[in-house]
Amino acid sequence: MNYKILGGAWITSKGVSLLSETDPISFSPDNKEIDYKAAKKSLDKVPSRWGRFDNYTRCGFIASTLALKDAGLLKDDGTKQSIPVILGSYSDCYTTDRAFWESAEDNSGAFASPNKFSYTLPNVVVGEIAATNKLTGATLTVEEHGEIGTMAIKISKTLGIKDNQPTLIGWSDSCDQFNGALFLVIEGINNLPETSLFELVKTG
Amino acid sequence: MKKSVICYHEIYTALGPNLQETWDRLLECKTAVKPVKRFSCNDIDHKFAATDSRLDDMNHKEQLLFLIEKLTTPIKDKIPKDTVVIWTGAKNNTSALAENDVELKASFFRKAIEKALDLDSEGFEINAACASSNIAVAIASQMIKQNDGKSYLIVSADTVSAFTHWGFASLKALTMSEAKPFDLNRDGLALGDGAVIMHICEEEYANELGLKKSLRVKGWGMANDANHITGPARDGCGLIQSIEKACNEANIDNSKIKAFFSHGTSTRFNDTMELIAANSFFKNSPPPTFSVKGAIGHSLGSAGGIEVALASKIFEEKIIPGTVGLETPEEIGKSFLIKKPTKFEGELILTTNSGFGGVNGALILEAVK
Repeated sequence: MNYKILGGAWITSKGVSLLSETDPISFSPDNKEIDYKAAKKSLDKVPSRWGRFDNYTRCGFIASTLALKDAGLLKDDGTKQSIPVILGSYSDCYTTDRAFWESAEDNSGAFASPNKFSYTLPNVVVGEIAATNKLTGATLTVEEHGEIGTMAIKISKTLGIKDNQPTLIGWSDSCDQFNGALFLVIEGINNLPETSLFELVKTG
Repeated sequence: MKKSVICYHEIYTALGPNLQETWDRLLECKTAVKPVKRFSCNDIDHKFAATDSRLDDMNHKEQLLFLIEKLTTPIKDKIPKDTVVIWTGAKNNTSALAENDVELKASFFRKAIEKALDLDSEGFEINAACASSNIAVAIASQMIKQNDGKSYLIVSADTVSAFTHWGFASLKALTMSEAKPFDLNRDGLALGDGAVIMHICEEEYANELGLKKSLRVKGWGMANDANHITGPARDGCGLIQSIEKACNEANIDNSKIKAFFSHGTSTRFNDTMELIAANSFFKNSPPPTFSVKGAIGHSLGSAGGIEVALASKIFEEKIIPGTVGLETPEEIGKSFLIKKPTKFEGELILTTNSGFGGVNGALILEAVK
């Protein structure tokens, strides 16, 4: 079986797009801020924890949830799916680390924010994606150094093997250099060549 | 299909600066948990962790580089140049926050290892919270199986920093005194300094290189419980699913597993979840089950790798080290939780880790004869 891209979505400062759209906004993340108030309107259902999410999580959550929708795999009845979620990022939760540290350091931890601390692990974003969309496959984040999503694809080809399901593969960043996220839902991950998510979007 | 094998491995914990000393103290039922001195705990209620005083005067970056040097020095010139490093330290950049250095992240430490060992290949960094090094073992084994590389070096170091200690304290997840995994009176986890290095090789390649072979990963599994980012599903569904996947790969039924080296953090929710999962998966007859975190503390991303290394000692010495801190077991674990060092008979050990983000990893290990 060859690989097949079942759906995809991305978010940048220019807005939100689905892979299946006839005239999508091009995926070109920049350092401009994303208007999350507007972006969350693209979700059918805003999760109850949305207010607690940091921007890194918001970014990844919107793109991944819309990618599942684009692939026809978004369930709203609580049905669990053994879909793996593998995410690559350059700076992951660094901005949130700073925000937590600011809440903690002046008072030797006495007023450290538990909510901010909860988001100071790079993989928490995939935990939110999994918990809200009831995805029970392998979940992981990997540091990206080169082309967007190259490492995420490499790890997916290893970890996704046991779930026998389409894999949700993405890239997300929310930092001084880049703001944006891109997710694809891919079937037959084992047959995917070593490439980047960016290349896959371009070649469709 | 290629086969992988775990060759060299070494650890550093607050209980001992290497595997043998940590093991010896575990068998003496010692604990490294004590009042924290390296940063202020005056304004919080939680003042205990498993810290190594040798690291107290260093900043976080210096601590991690010190541990990397300790672990890599003995294997200089003994690791093939094509080895790929997988770094799994969970929280590496807290010095970067003081220096506002965005480049000081996981890859900084991975590159330091590659430079120290003069390796040709570029490695990578993964994060699956407290299951990170458990899952790195799975990734390396699977990559070798899929003929994607022949030699992997898993390295992880996590030390008790103000960042993690104050953070877990803010979540009320830390103990007020000592970690007591699976105890009715447990009140939270104790963080711990910990580091691990583990060389995983394709078996024929290991033979060619004349490497000593220690353990084999018979099966691995990974699953998310899709519940909450900081709290496990009460029914242990994610942990059960990960163990099932590992058993399926190993092609064994659960009666073959003769010891369960659990995550056992000493938090109320995690430990109860693990006992429920063990009873469910092993049909109310789990094998001897234990945790070492009452002795060495919880070293986050390094925990799983340290536990794999300790499993090699269980096979070697035919002893399960017991659960330091456990006095009054939870009712549902009374029949199978191990308090004191106990004789081990069997060929397979299950070791699991669970973490933030709902992640669960399981490994079934066997000794190489």
